[in-house]
Amino acid sequence: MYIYDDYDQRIVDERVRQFRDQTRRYLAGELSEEAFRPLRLMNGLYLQRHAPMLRVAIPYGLLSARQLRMLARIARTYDRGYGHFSTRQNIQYNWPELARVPDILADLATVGMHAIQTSGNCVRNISSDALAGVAPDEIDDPRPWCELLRQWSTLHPEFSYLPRKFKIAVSGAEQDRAATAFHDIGLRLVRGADGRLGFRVLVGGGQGRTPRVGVVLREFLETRDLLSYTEAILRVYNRFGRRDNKYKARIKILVGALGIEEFSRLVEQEWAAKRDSALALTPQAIAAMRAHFAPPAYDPAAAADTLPTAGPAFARWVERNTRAHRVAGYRAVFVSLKGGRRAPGDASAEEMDLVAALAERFSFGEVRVTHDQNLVLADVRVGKLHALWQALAGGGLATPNIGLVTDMICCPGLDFCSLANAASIPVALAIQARFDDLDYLHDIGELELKMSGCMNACGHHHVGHIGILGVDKNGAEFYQFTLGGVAGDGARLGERLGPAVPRAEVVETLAHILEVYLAERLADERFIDTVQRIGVAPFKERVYARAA
Amino acid sequence: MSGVGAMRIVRDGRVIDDPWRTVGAEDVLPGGAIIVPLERRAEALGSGHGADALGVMLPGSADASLLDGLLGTLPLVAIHFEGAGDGRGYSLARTLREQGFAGELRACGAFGRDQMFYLARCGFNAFAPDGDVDPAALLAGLDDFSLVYQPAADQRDPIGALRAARAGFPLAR
Repeated sequence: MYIYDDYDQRIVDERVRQFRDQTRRYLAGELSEEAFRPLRLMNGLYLQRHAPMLRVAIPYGLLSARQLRMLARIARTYDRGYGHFSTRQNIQYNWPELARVPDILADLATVGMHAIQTSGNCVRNISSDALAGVAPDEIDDPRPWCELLRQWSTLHPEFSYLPRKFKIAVSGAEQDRAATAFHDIGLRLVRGADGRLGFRVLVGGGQGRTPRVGVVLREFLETRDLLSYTEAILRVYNRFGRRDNKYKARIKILVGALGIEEFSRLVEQEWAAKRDSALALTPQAIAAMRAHFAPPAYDPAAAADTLPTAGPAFARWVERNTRAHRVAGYRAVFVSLKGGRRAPGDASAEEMDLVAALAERFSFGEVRVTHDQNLVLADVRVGKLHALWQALAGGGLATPNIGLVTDMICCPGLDFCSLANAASIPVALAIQARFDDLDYLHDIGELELKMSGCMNACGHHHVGHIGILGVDKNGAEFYQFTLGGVAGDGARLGERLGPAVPRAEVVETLAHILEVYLAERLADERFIDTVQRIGVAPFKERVYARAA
Repeated sequence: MSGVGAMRIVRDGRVIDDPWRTVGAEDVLPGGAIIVPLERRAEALGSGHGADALGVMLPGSADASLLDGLLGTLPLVAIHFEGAGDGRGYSLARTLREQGFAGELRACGAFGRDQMFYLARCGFNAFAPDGDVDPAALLAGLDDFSLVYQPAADQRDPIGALRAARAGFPLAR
């Protein structure tokens, strides 16, 4: 993985010093709340319902065991002993004290971490595929490109006061596991007709109040041009993006208003002057960055590993929570942060320490955070899977539910977030409690359930196979269901099922939807395929039958 | 933006008495070095002002093409930041520097010491914010970081170039 050199380290150290001084000036009354606000946001610090919330960047979701231990230590020292992994592969702490945040950032800096640009109207953490570098369907490793983008965007002088936040995702595989169509810029690594590597560039995707599927801005971009072209897009957005209404300020609105042809013309015009500037990537700079992500020392003897027969529980976990690896004899292992009484994506300090230790023992000391709020140990020998499973099960981290109903995405909702209209965590817990029967869950099979506590869509409800959106109706919490959303390939927005249901009926509504699926599915048809085949009408009939 | 006497501003890394007077849309044009809204430049030239003592003020939202043909003549361009969150002036400044503007590029309006580092990197070399801002604090803001990751208008070598020099491989360009 990328390890900071003395240059990177100096930047994060200076950032800590800068934020310590800004916080001091704010607490001393020298800096107004209005002036401090964008500064604290650009260090990931929100003022929330109960306390500040601090979002720490995990670039493209990649962590060393040492970094994960530091996240555990911060949870223990400055918070209430846990952290919340977010859908953008970051971690959030819900209970830090403002005056101690500079100390948290100083601790993070000792392991090459920070909270730079995890909020604010700037380029946010670059997100990617949690299986980067190990997926069998990979065209090229997205992580070197993510890191090049991370460095380019860090403290960018021109783009720190954009009209609104800006999110970039990079996917390097045949299958899009990074939801690139739902980012301000989505980059897909592709091979051109002559076999050369490049990017297909999508722009203007996003969720929130105005969900949009990204459109192709450029079919093929040479890798050398990654930074110059991205900078040209950002300049057009910074100049022309709306600033009069924050709900119309994202790049998707600009792209929609100008049309993709005119937007593209403006980008090409800016790019022409930048293309051969110092932003052009040299083969040496690309090779040097790739070297940071060289494969670990896989054991060729692993190819002869066989899976032990160790009972149905282990077999089920292997089937559900592990994925194929490009190297024979290895698997990628998902550590489920879902199910039971756990708020989706939460992990305690003890759990983080355990996963860090297991990463060192089983997976070359690295951990990934997935965009659906789980963790991954990406390089585990098949012959060691049983020992790893036992260790994870001992820590309550082996729930075999990856990709199933209870592996739901969920935002913090009304319990923590000052934007939320409705609770999401208690509803998620009720769903997890109702659908805790593993045989039933496995029978339902692959299903992406995503829930947001307000229309800002942090829980990605628009792109859930089943989406649930919390809304406020005259002070009561109601929940709007959508069906058929897809985040990855074949990206599409879910279709509204019908009127929102009261909180007490959410679990029952979900049960009715699943009933219809079980009755209608053909052979091994997945839930999403059934919805696409039969449409929402049969689900609607069942759910609203009582009202008829 | 209306005319005032000599103010303390930051220019080229030092605190100085401002040799320029800023003139508003309605003000009577005084003698000496003045900064006028771009729309009043022709009027000022017509009333006998020398082009070398005549700077122009633009809002951050303005398009750089408004200065087409003038960049070699103007001694000073001032960009006014309407609100702290409005970053258009950063792009405008960089664009003017990219187009070869070599005169004084002055930031005015809503900003403070915490924006100085970014403003300077975008090509501003003079800083006259609204309100009662201590020029010494503004100067300190120029040194928030000693290294940069990306090329910009300040011609500082980005970290990528420092690494290339260390490793002995060529730079882009």
